[in-house]
Amino acid sequence: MKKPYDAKQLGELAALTPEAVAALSYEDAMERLEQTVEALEQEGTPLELGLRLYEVGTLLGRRCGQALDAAEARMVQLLGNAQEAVESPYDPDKDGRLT
Amino acid sequence: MAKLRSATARPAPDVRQSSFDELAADGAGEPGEEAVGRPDVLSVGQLTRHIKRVLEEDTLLEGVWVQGEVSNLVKAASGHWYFSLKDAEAVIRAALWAGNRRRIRHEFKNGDLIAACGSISVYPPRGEYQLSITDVRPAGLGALYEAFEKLKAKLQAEGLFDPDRKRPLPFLPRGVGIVTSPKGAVVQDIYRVIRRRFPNMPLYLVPVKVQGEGAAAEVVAGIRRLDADPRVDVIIVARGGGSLEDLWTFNEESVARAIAEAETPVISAVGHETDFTIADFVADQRAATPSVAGELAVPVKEELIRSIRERRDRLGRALKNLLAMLGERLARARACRFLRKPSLLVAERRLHLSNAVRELEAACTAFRSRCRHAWELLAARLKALDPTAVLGRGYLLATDETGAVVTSAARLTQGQKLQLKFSDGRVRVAVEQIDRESPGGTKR
Repeated sequence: MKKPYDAKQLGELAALTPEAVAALSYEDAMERLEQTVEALEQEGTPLELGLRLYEVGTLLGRRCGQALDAAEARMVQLLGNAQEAVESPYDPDKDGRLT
Repeated sequence: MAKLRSATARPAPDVRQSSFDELAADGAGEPGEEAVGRPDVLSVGQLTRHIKRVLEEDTLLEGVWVQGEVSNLVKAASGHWYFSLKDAEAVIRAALWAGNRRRIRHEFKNGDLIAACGSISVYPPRGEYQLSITDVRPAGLGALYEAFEKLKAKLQAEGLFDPDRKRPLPFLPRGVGIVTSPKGAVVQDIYRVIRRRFPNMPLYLVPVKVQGEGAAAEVVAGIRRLDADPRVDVIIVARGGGSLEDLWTFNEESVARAIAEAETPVISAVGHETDFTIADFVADQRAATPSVAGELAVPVKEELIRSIRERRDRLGRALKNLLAMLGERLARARACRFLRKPSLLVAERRLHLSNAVRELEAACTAFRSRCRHAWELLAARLKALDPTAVLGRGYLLATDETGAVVTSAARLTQGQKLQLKFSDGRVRVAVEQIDRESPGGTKR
């Protein structure tokens, strides 16, 4: 039931370099990861292409995980005005009062 | 509003008639009270009883018509409705009991300007007085509601609410901007929901006044500031529930325009689920509550990790399957009997060839005999047609000097030389006499 993959798409996937993967957003990396998995699951994938797809897929999976962890847990309050912005940490449980 | 009674047409309530002596008498028997003379100190119950009597006996306050805007409408499970009627100066509690409500045809909701008929009653346990309503008539829309409708119609005509103007929310924002009051439950709800769903999501709060003088300007500035901040991929504009007036900041044109102009997608979460503000219509997405806004803003990180893990596992399985499949094909190829015994390759072909040769020979033989049979049939038929065959039976063939066959006596002349052919030789003769017979007669 899988949609057939055109050679162009497969070629683009197989040609992804580690640098190109690292530059992808989470959504783009995830989309390509899905395509890679499905392409590799298709019957009749040539061995060399299969190995390459696995390699690329592993990179894509790692990139997705990195994208999720890249953000830094914090909540800041933007004070002052747009020109003279002041940022201070904010704790909603203390209504923002600094301890 | 012809039914509204004029206060001047009624006699002023005669409060003086209720004396404090009577009050004290009413309260006789209660501890700590003297039945003699006017007591210096009344109990709360005594005072309230008096207030109740004064208010409830006043004929002006019976069946009075009053016009005001409905707010804080609560529909109790019992079927009773509780709400406030208000205007620019004052507010009064109102109750519409289920029995009366069923008789009243005019439907109303928060923000509606209505004219209500009822009587003032006092509820001592709470020290509250209220209008117990018996009838309700429409009185046009409240001024605020009218302004709301006007702005809504104007912005709608400008196309600010068009679905194709709505920007899609980012699947995974780099950071979430929040414009709301820094105090209270709203910011906490948003914070908790987002932390639970995506623990390391950066949040940028612009603390603002959400109601009253200057609130709209602060909200507008907050939206613009977050919109300009490259760390922010989605903005939540939020405020808790309140009356139409409390939510009014979010019905201001300036706020609506700031939301519309923002490049960054905006989620509005203003008031309760049932409240709609102009901000909700302009926003790219409306959230029923602040918690829902948090859910709309960020995905659940755990689910994303699970889906990455699942894909990674599938990737490994797919490679394993591919290798297994290729290995199986190799094994199948190796198992081929020709590879194991190549001489079979020649032996089989040789057998095949000799079979073919045998079949060819058989076919040739059959063909030859069929040809011979056909030739014999033809030869017999040819022999039957040979004209010289009849000569043996006593017929002659006569030819003239030119060698042409003579078929008629009429063409012959006396003395003409003819040649007669027998089966065993020829003779030369000359025509002696011609006896002509009529044509059609039998020739012998």
